[in-house]
Amino acid sequence: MIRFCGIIYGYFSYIGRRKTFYLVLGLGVLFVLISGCFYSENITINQRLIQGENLIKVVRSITLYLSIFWGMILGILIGISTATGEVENRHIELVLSKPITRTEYILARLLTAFIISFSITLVMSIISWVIYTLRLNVFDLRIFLGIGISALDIALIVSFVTLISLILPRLLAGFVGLMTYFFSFITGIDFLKGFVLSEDVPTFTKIIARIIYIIVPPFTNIHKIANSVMNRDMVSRGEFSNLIHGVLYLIICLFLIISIFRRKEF
Amino acid sequence: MPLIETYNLSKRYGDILALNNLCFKLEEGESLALLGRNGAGKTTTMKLILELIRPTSGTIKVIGRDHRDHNLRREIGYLPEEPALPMYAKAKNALLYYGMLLGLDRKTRNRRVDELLHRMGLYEDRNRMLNEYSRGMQQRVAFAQAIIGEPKILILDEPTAGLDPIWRKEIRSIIKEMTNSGCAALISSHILAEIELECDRAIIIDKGNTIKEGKIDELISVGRQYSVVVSEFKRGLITGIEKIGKVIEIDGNKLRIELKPGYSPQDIIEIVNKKKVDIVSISIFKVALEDIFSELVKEKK
Repeated sequence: MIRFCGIIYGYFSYIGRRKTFYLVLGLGVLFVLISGCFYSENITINQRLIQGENLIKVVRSITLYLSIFWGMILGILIGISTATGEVENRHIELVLSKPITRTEYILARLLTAFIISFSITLVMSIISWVIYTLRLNVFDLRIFLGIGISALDIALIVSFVTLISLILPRLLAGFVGLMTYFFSFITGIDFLKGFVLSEDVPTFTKIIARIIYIIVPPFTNIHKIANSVMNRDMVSRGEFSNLIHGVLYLIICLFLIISIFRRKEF
Repeated sequence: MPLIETYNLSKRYGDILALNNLCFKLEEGESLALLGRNGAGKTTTMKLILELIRPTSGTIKVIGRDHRDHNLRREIGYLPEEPALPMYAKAKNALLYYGMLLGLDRKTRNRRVDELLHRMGLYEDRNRMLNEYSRGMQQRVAFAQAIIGEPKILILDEPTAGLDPIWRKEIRSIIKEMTNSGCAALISSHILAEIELECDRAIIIDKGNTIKEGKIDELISVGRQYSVVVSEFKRGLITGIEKIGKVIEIDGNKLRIELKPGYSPQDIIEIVNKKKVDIVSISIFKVALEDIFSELVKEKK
């Protein structure tokens, strides 16, 4: 246990010294504060006045999106150094010369990356919550339910980017992670679902669409479930299957990371 | 029981054979030098023992057990050739971190870190960042992390690199203290004069192949050559000595003599005394390990 904590402590210290970390954190907080300025008891969207419970739903959703977005960006930035950071600077030789298994090492690093990214998401959601509680004069804790479900999103992006960084150079892995995150917006929208279910679409195209749906991590779908649960909207059984897709995706990522990392030579 | 045993250890990187059938044993209290040019396979051997890389063939046993048991690394202190320390950390915190990785409890960790900071002369600078440290200070921190867990085996790749003569001596004395108390040391160094002082045995490897192995004293004693210092040099001495051997070198009153088989240093004394010359000293002629090493590597070529 001490050894496991040691790896976590080491990675925390490393990230704590990175300027990029504070830059992303600062930008995130700034965005949350700016968005907070627009919260008022009457918001107009598409010339429709939003008030009451609907207003809180909109504000909650915005808060969730903003908090998760910065958590995801940070997850990508941390994820690219989780498995390969110490390999590139060769510090890994000293670390693995101690009685630590490679599985312990990589799991501790992944856990650290997740804790940091999720903590930042939580901090931002707390800031946002304080702002809208004060400005809208409501006491509503449901945002944290959404943030809790979105923890899966954070865990998924950290693992996904870590896995990619074991295959590709770090910067490229970060880029792939970012692109996949944005691409998941496409697979997450109903467009692809409709495409797959449509009878006019050729079978081959349907298969390709299905493969894309499975290969791309379901970031947006998990986010949508978080949003629905948080806002007490109806969640279909199909949507819940996205949650299982996410969990399975995470398990497969972890399995591949451990397998690849254990085979590596330093 | 040997603390490290390797049997036919080989490592191949694609077409390159980095290590070929290396066999050796490292006993308790012994210090063994791995000598060789760059790329000879010294670091590869060390990394294989630590399972940082995997052997293509052969086996390694550490304290009688398969080296892949990660708990064994609790008993090993490793100092790589160019130790990459966490430069963003303070020296004290870095050592505490390594203590944690070894699984030392808080009390032992703090005690060992304080002891080592004092011993390495870094106590005053313990709260400075490692990136503010000189190369020599960083090397001392790296050495301290290797011995923080009071290991039974030391694996040291160029342990005195970047150190001034005073600290080289100090590091040598720490290694000596540890080997005297039963710890075994596997050392690789390019400073062969230091190896002569530090190690009991040496293995010379070149391109992955073992070209010579033996005790340092045996390695540096060349054949049956003796250094003889006489009170006064007389031409007649040479004629006498040539009956029992060959005079290889004359330097004032100092002669280097190679004896024929069947003759002993006593015969030299008798011949010299017959010529009414006194012997000031007589000793086995030794050459620097560096010369032996160069010679062996040349021969192999």
